[in-house]
Amino acid sequence: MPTVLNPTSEETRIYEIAVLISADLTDKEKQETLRNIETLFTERGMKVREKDEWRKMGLAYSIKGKTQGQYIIFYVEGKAAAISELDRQMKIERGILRHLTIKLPPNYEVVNWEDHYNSWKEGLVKEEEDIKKEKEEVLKKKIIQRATKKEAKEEKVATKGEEKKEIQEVSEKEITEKLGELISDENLNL
Amino acid sequence: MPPIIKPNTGSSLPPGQRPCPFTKAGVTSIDWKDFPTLKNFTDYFGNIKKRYYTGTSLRHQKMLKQAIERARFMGLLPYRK
Repeated sequence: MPTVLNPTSEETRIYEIAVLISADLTDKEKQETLRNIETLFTERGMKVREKDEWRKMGLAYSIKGKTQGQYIIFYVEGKAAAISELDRQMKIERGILRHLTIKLPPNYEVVNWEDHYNSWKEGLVKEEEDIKKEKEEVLKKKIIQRATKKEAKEEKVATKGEEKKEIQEVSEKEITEKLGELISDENLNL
Repeated sequence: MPPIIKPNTGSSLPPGQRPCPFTKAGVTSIDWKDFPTLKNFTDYFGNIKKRYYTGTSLRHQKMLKQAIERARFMGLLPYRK
């Protein structure tokens, strides 16, 4: 069952705060930065509703000289006035490469995006395998067709030769008969 | 799991007359973390594909642009390859 996020009171809103941490941090440093971020939330009376931690992955381009990072996504409920100050504090925080705060649309469904990505990759691999298999099948069919064509051609050539021989034999017999008739004809004046 | 949406670039219809793949799936908002869908709507160089070719409606193209720019900022998609 996907969890649907909605604000509990009229004054508060639901925000998504995504944080990109460099992959070079040790476990201790990482835990410290996460603790610092969560204290920033609690100082401003914000509640962490959901937390989504992705695995370490390569970045599309190098950020602050780092090519690998880890995304941690917080779904936070709080007042709108606290956000600007939180943004400033997050910029100062050490170990954070990038951060992004978004006001979520109503009835937002929390999805595990990492699983989504992994299932998509598996599907891609399967598709590639299917394409390969299809190509192999097409090749096999072509080879079989060529072989059958060759056999048919050879058969045709063989049958043509036999027909020619028969025709020649018949013609020879006819010629001999006609010649005999001609020779035995009495009206001829030689 | 949300569906992975593909552009209608290979459609038999001529460009400019293709149906929107997002409206067909009933999408109301596009997430910047949805890498597979965003990847389908960018070309080899990392540019956003024209809606003239993909068939995306104007409303969804604006959402897509927002999502792709957020993904680029967070290092999920490249600005330029």
